[in-house]
Amino acid sequence: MSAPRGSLRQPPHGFRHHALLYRDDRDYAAALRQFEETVAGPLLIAVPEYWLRLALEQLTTRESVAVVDACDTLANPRCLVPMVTEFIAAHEGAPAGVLAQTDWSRSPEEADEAAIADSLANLAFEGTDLHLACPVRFARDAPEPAALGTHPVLFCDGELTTSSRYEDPLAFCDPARWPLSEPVVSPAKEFQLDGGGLQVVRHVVEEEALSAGLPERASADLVLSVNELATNSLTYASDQCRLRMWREPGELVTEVSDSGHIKNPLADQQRSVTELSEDSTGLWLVNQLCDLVRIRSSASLGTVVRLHMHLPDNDAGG
Amino acid sequence: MRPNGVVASARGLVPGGHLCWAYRDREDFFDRAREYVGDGIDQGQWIQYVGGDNAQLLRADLNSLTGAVPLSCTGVATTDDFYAIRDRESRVVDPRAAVAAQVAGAEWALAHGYSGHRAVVDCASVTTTAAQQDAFWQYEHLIDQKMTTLPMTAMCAYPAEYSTEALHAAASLHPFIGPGLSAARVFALDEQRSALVGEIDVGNWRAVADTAERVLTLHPSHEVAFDVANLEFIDHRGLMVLQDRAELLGRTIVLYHARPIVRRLTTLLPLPHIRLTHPEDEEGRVDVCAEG
Repeated sequence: MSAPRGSLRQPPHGFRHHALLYRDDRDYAAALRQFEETVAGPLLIAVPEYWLRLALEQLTTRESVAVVDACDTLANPRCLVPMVTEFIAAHEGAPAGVLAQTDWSRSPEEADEAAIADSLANLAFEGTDLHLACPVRFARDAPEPAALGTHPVLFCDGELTTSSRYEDPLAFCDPARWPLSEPVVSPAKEFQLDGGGLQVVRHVVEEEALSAGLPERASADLVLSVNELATNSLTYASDQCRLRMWREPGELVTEVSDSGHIKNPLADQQRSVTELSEDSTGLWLVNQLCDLVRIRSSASLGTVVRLHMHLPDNDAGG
Repeated sequence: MRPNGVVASARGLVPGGHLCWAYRDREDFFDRAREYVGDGIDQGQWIQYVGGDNAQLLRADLNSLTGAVPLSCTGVATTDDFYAIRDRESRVVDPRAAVAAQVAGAEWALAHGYSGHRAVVDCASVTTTAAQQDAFWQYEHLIDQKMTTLPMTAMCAYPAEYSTEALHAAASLHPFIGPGLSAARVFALDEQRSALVGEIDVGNWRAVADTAERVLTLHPSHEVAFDVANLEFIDHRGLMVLQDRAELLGRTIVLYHARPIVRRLTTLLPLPHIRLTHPEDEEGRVDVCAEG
């Protein structure tokens, strides 16, 4: 780390994206108090329930604060940017503070997507008057957190430092660096969509989802999500679109792929209100409906979108 | 919910069943017409056979349908007479005048001891031009509303060679349709409310929006209610185009009996011109029929 640049109490201007590195609850509480003092405007706390209680204990003098349980709202890390965007819009762009924690005990896939989402936030909020702070657990004997590459500035032991590991978001999110492993089991369903009706696709997805034990509402969410992705493929991609579904321990995975390239890395983070022909709301919607969304898109590889849906405990591993 | 569905024949739609059929050829049309007329005779209804030909040719066709024996419960009418068309050159239907003529016909049938009025219509002669179609699609919804309160019904037959768009537009305004015509449709539940049924996706959302726009335009009230209990699927674009059409017309679409997928989408998308409700919530506020 480079030399300290000062405390969090620096005048708040422009977009600041800080990783609040903490070792224990005391560190966490101290960092939160300092962060909160920098936020004169609206404040959103999005952390898991355990830290939510801890955070609220530090904010007893604040008149109003928005709170959400990150384990729900940010379970799919690709909801980070949409959540913050909505918060900023709700306050008409006023200087805002958001404490958003995407770092907790997660699966390796979720942790990868959390890192990508954190990095994309640097692109999404450039030019805004937002202070985005992300608590990240830091232990000397643990692997270096990915947050060092996704947060331009670190806050640790009461001091700010620039992160020497910080990477340009486009380089960090390069899909070649985050390959998706092939399923270890043969997909239960696999077929090509050739421009025909989507009714068949919806039927196949619903049948497999219910068969896997997904509850009815989650099945409906998955059917809608696949329909949205297939619609995008048929609308934007030049050739066929492939659908695969398989089960992994505790979850059902559905993959929709085509040869198209999503050039805007934030396409799925924005609820488009433009012409329907350029609509990216479908991708945004998929993030809201699925437990985990993994998107890899490049000119050479095409686009692969994987949707992970958690299966109820009694069917885990089915 | 009013009976509805995709059917493989015109038989069994009793006492009424407003049916859209796209006929491949004259034989296909006659087969369906024979089924529809046969059911009407069994039901004690007054039957009218309607087409673009003159009355003599129409009577010959009807006789062939009923076994060459003229029956007192049947009659023929040219489309010009049946729809009270004033402009015999353009042959564009005046939707409300045509409905008034049909209502008078149904009342006549009841006054003369029949159980209702049933028409078999080859609609080709009044749905060829864009102006004819636009007027006739309006008529289709207005007469469908009347069919919910009066014992009247019709089989509306269109040439299968019409464009997909035209066939969809016609079919999407009927509770019963022949195979392969339209994945979604709107039909009346009474004079205030309609049902929106089927599946709406990239293949048909603009066409469905056109149909919805026609229905919205024909309703005088600011809020127009649709029962969507049988709307099996709609994607976000489907809802957005409905929202756009409602906004354009300064109306609000009220959806009730919405399935989870519709409720989910309405919580996630900005849809100021679409409102979800339950009929129970609306009691005493707007006219809501007892159907549910």
